[in-house]
Amino acid sequence: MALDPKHPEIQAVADFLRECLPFDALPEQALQDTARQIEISYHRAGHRFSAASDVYALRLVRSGAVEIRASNNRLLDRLGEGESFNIHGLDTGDEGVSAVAIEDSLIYQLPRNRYESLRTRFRDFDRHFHSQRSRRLRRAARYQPNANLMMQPIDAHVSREPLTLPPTTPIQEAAGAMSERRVSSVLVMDSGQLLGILTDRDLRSRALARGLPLDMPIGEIMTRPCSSIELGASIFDATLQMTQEGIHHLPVMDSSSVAGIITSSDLMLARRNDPVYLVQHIGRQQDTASMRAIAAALPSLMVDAIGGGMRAHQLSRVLTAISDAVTRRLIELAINELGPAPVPFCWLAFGSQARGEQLIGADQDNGLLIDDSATEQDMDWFRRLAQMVCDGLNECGYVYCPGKVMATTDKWRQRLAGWQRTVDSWTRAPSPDAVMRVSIFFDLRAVHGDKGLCQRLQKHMLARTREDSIFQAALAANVLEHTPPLGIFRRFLLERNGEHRDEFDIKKRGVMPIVDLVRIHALANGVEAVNTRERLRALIDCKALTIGDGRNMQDAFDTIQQLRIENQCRQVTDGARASNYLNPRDLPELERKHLKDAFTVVNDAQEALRHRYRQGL
Amino acid sequence: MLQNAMLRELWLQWQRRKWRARATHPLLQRLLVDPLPDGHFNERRYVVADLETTSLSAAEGEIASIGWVAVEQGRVLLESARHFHIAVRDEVGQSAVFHQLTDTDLKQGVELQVALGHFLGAIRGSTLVFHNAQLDMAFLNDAVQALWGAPLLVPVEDTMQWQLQRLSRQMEVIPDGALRLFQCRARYGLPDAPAHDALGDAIATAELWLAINAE
Repeated sequence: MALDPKHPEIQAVADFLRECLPFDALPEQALQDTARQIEISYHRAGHRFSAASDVYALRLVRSGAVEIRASNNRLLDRLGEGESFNIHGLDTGDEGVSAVAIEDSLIYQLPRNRYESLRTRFRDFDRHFHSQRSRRLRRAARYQPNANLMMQPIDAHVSREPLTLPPTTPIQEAAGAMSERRVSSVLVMDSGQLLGILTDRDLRSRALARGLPLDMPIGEIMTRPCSSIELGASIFDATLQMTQEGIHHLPVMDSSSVAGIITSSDLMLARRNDPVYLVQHIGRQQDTASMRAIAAALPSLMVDAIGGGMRAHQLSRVLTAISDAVTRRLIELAINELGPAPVPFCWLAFGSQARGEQLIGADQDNGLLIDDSATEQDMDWFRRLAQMVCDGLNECGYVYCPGKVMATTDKWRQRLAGWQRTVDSWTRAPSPDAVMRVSIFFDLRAVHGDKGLCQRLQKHMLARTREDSIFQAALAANVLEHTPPLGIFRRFLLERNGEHRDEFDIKKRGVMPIVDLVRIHALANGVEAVNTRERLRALIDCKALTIGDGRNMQDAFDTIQQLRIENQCRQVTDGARASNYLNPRDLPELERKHLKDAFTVVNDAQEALRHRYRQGL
Repeated sequence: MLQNAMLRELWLQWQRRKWRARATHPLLQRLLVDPLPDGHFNERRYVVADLETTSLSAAEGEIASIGWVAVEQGRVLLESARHFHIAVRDEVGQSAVFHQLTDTDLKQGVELQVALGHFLGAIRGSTLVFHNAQLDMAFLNDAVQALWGAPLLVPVEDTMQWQLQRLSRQMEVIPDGALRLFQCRARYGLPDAPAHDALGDAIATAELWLAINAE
């Protein structure tokens, strides 16, 4: 036992430090000295550690837990006992990085000068924080939200070395230089001054079309004075200016000198992560491979969009619009190869794509509805179409449906009369097994082709299901098989310190029970909408549901979908594949409560349904 | 509760006036003359201390070691931590076995007045905090009065009393051991710690004091 009373060994603190990275690498004396420099604080859950005017460089969690979040509130890291964080190290450029205690926490703080001196003196210590910092930065950078994409400065998208020529250059020489540099414009300059701009269009309309001599100087045919834009302008400003003036090239000025040039295709490229742009862009792809590349970026698009504040139902609309666009483009490409369709047809989407509720990693559920006039030979054309489109979808990441609900399956590729007979057989003698397999069919939507065909099929279907209480009861029996895992929450409390095996499939146990419930009500009441939110609205309008019940169901649905998406964002951010498995332990207390409330609503609604169809069950 | 605090302060003021003139150590005199600290938790300075003694009775035992640490602006400053082992005359009693002290440790210690002299210097302008103040203050008052003519009449807080009040609101009978330092800490989610010494327990008490004041 050391007996220097003024520099005592602080045994408990030193013992703790010895078990924390990277303090374990410090020599004993430095460790003891460090222990004596620590200041201890205690913070209730919810306390926010601010970066402003902070004398502490390093904070070490002694007990409790701390969350690190980016300015858009996206979770960057969760720290527990023995883990340390340095707000300033995280805060490079992004002013808003914050740390919040999520449990009551005891924090050991190391003053800045002490921390810096350890980093200077001990290389391993320094390296640890260096790599930790860059790891977090990488994570943060990879998922920068694009919510305000249009407000970004054009700076990063400007071509910095534009082709410039004096006004005396002959037209032919200018055209040669443009071809060589593969550019569509040239800035005409004289001793550092921008005189005008010459574009492909000018060459065509002012020189070639008028038959001007090729040795005429470009000063004669350039556009002058030409408009320009400042380097600090936003992508929005530049897009607006080009649209208003009907031009595609803008010289970029840095105060009075030329900084470069920006073109309309530069602006298009800058917007490539914008979902609306993405949908247009898919329609221009020439092969499956390039669409697959676009689809591969969807997980990070999801993280960006949610980080930027997009809600679950909006995002699932966007993701559905994208898979619709991929499907349409694949059909168009197939038709280019197969020749035009022999008779009218409609490509149908089923399930989540039909409802507009698709998320990342959905498999394909589709079918082909063909005009009754098709001959057997025509049907062969559609068999080949189905094969090409389903293969293409699979390549793009919309994997084959395990239940074979695809246009390649004969039963899901029929003439209208065939489809109607199939519907009749399902509703006439419903077996529970059959009902389970076909319930997905009752969410259908036309993606491409003759929408009238789809409407006729849907009318037929609704007419059958609306009057058939036995079929409704069979559907109800199927729905009631999946109940939300309410028990988890009780167990969760008991097992707070134990092991957790409470992971559950939030799609199967949370989303589908609501979708199924709402579908039954929709079918029983002849509601044509297939989107769950729209169905609920229609059911409230026709008084099949009370406003209160309808809104509760919608809130429950939105909450569960939101948690499901945020869970997928966490998985993607952690480098995992997006899945539907969720562990309630990963949720903050409040969200856990929301989830429990949502499950309770579903549970109550299931009870009501059980009551209603009791005779048939 | 508030009234008790006011009465305690009045009594303390009165006692200080009474003993002021009898104190022989300049630091002790100053402690008895300085105005009593006031203000909120974050504005005050606390010195959290713990003693190891050779007996549980101040009449029979001696102080074997003392450790303390200051709390300022709601933070435990480990730089202020001090830890004195004191040379005792008696053979080591039963309590020392609990605290893993040996006769050798004790004989290597400093004179009691050296340690307490440093302590008087450290606690100026501060409120003392103990876990079970009654026991430790009995030893300190006896020792300081024997050495320098007056007891240690400074404001004192007791984390154990705070816990007692809190638990009595919640339960009729308080179970054995429920008021022990590490049981109290566990109630605030503070970590368990290995075998302890006076300084370790002073720091553990200081952390508990932060947690109590965060409520």
